[in-house]
Amino acid sequence: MSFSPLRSRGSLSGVLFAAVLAALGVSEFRLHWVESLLGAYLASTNAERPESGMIWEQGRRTQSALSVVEQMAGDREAQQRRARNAGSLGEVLAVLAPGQAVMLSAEHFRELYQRLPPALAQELISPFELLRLAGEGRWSRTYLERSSDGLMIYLLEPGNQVLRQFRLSDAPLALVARRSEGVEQTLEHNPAFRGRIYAAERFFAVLAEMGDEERRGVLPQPERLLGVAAQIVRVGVSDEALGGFVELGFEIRTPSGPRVLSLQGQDWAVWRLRARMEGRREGGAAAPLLSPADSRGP
Amino acid sequence: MRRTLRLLLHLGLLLAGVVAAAGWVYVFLVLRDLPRVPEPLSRIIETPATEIYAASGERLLVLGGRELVPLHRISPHFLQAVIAVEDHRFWEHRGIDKLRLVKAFWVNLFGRGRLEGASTITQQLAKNLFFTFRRTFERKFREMLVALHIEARFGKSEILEAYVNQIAFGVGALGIEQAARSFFGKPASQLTLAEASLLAGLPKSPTRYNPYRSFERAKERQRTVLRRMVATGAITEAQAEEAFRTPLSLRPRSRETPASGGYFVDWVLKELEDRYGSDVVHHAGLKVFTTLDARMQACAEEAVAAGLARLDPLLKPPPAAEGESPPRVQAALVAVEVHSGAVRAMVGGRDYAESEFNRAVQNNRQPGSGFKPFVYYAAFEKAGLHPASVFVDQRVSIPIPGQPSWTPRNFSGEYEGPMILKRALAQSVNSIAAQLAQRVGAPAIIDAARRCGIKSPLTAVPSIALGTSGVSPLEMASAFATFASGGTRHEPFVVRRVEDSSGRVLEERLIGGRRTIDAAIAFQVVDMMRAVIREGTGRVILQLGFQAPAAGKTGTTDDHLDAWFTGFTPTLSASVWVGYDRAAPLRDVHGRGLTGGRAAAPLWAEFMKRATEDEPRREFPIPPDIRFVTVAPTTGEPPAPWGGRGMEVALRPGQASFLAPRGEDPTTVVPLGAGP
Repeated sequence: MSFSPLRSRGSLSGVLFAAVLAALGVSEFRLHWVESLLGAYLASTNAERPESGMIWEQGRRTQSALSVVEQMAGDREAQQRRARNAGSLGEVLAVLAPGQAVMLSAEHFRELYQRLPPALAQELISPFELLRLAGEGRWSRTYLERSSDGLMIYLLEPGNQVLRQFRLSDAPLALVARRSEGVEQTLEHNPAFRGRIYAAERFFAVLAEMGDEERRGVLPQPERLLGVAAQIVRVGVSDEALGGFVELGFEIRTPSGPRVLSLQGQDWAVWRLRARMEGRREGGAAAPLLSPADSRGP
Repeated sequence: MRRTLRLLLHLGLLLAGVVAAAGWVYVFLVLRDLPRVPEPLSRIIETPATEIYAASGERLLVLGGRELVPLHRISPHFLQAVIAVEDHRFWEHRGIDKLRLVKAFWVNLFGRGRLEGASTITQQLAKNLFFTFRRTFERKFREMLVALHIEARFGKSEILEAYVNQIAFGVGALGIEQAARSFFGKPASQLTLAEASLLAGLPKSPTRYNPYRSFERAKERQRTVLRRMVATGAITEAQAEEAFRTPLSLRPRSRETPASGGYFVDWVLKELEDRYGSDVVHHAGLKVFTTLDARMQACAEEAVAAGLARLDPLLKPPPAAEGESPPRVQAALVAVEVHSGAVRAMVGGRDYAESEFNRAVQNNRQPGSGFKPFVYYAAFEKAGLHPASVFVDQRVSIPIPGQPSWTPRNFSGEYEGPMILKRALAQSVNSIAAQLAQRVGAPAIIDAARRCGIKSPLTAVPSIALGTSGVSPLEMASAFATFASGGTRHEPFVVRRVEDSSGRVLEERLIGGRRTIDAAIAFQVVDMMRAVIREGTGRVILQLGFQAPAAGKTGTTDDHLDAWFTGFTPTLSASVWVGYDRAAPLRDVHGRGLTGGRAAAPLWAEFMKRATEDEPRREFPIPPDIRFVTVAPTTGEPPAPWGGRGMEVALRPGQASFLAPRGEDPTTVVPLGAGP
């Protein structure tokens, strides 16, 4: 029997290898070090891994859904806030695009109604009917919905039952808008004033010559013009009467360009004023209207 | 030899090294695509719930949202039970139960078709959160890696908490809190050992072990859970035995689950999804306030259940299709508020759990004679006729260009001769309805139906007078409500208001109607439909004890395929349909066909009796230009003193002015001209 040191070294290393393997295996079953190491490595690289899988997908959908709702609710709230602060129906209209709507309290709508030109208010709903509804105590809110061709107004009771509904078509709506804050344009843009545009100086001079009752007839709310900071340069008078009132357009010069503010005067008084401005007798044939300088824009 | 062995050993070691290296490469490749784990884990549980409420305040359904319930608010019995049955070494392993894995590998390899899983609770959590349920080796491997990550990052309690808050128990319950409330009507903290062990068995297969479907299977599973608890030392044998014997009182499936009002809720969800999209409805935590009246809904469900239970033994079921059981008769009921269009109750079938097809909305079945009120309205409006106009009930043949003539028959097969129109509607005389259709034309009838609210496609043929175009019960209830409201049409609706999770209003419904038909003519038709209940084909309504002022019309189609009753009080309009889903006649065991009066009207009467029992008695408002006159039902003349009972008819100004109004001297009257 011969002894080979090389062979014994090989056997020893094999045994050692096997022992190490066994020790690793047993220690893994006892100490779970492979899982722990791998788990720790995974935890340390978590931030670099993709947000994938069902739960992340669901999270994204939830976030997207919440932001959609947030946008809807936010828009609606902002619209409501602007509508609540509105001082005229025109300001409410300016808030609304077609398809949008706002809810106002009955009291707020009554205030806006009172500020409407009398003819338009009458066309919308009779003040006596409004008084009756207010007196019954069931009218609590008003819903205004802008459509492509006008404005729907619903008077509602607390349970949202519609008590009355009416439509305001585009033409009076445009008047409301012009009246509230003016429109960025010149008088020539409104066909109703064509051929009846006068220099403001002349308009106010003739107005000053008229009697007090006539002046009140032409300008029932002069304080609206007094509140205008810019200079009034021209005045347009419509040829159409609506419910006994005629539209007057006041062109003002502002730093951003010309604007036209609309007011309404009683037809009989406005016609008298026109007759005087045009130098004809009231009820007589029309004389030539304006000098070329009068009709020129600012 | 020795050299060869050494070579083999080296080759083996080399191969093992290569395999190990390839394994590590594979691991790192897989690692790159592993999903990120959210921190904290509770973030994955908390999603806002969309809640749907009845008008009466009850919560009808909660969609999707969950709130994390901490472990200390969960019964320890449940935690012990779920650990015992799902992963008894949960507290010891680091995400993978290696012994169980080896055993499962062995069984799956040599177990002759047996499959054994070895997923730990952590692995199940990883699977539920990130992976699909497709079983592949790679998915399993990735799931194990994520489990290791979760174990390394989070504590055992956090993992267990996340797990029990997101597992599915069936019946729409996700998480132990929802499960405890759905099955036992109590919070998870109050679950007893018996209840906890039943619930702990469900996640393995929520459908198979659903106690509402198979209580025995659920009990067997409970026994397994209890045995595992004994084996793990969580409880003693005696405790397990006692828990198994403890009777379980499952919560009746009621308003919190879709079983009640399920059809209604489905329709609400469909409307919301059309408007907002599915993601917003299911994930944005909306609060939806509907029109449903929970008490009325319960009345409707009970009326339908009782009515079908009464019909089942009477009916001879149609033959079954091959390999299927005989079809069961179905019913639908829908009730609409007359002055708003709000849908107050809806039953779309016999059992929502059995069939989600909503017959109250989606069905398109012929209404038969139920369509006649529109015919009479059109005849009064277009042809100047009125309830006292006389027509002759006789065999008629109506020519149709290019087709054989249409010869409608009366239901009884007999003809009675002359009669006034009020009597003709009360007795549902087909020959006279056909004559009216010929007189005014199908387009006029369709126009009347459309103005009342019928939206289904209607075919312009003379037979439309007998209801040959399909409609839904919702359309019928809503269209008849237009008569009841005196001619004002209200669109039916189910959603009153929608809010976001913080209570900001997203939309609210305005309740407004539009006059679409004449009030006085509408009243004349209503008055005629009152006669249907008082003395016509709907007499059963009175016989069953519904005494409030009401009007309605029965409907039965050819071959008895459909039975209808649609009727209303001054405040509530309801329509009932009874029939089979496939075209099969409603015949009793003697082979006789069932009519709307026999099959559908009793359900209507039962529902209306209970739905309106708390309401004060209200009469139909009479338009100011209506006057009542009593005439002989066969001649339209004042009834002779010796000649039987007269019939009161409602007339408009100018109609039969020679007839003295009620209470006046009728001596100067002349007979009405007969109709064609």
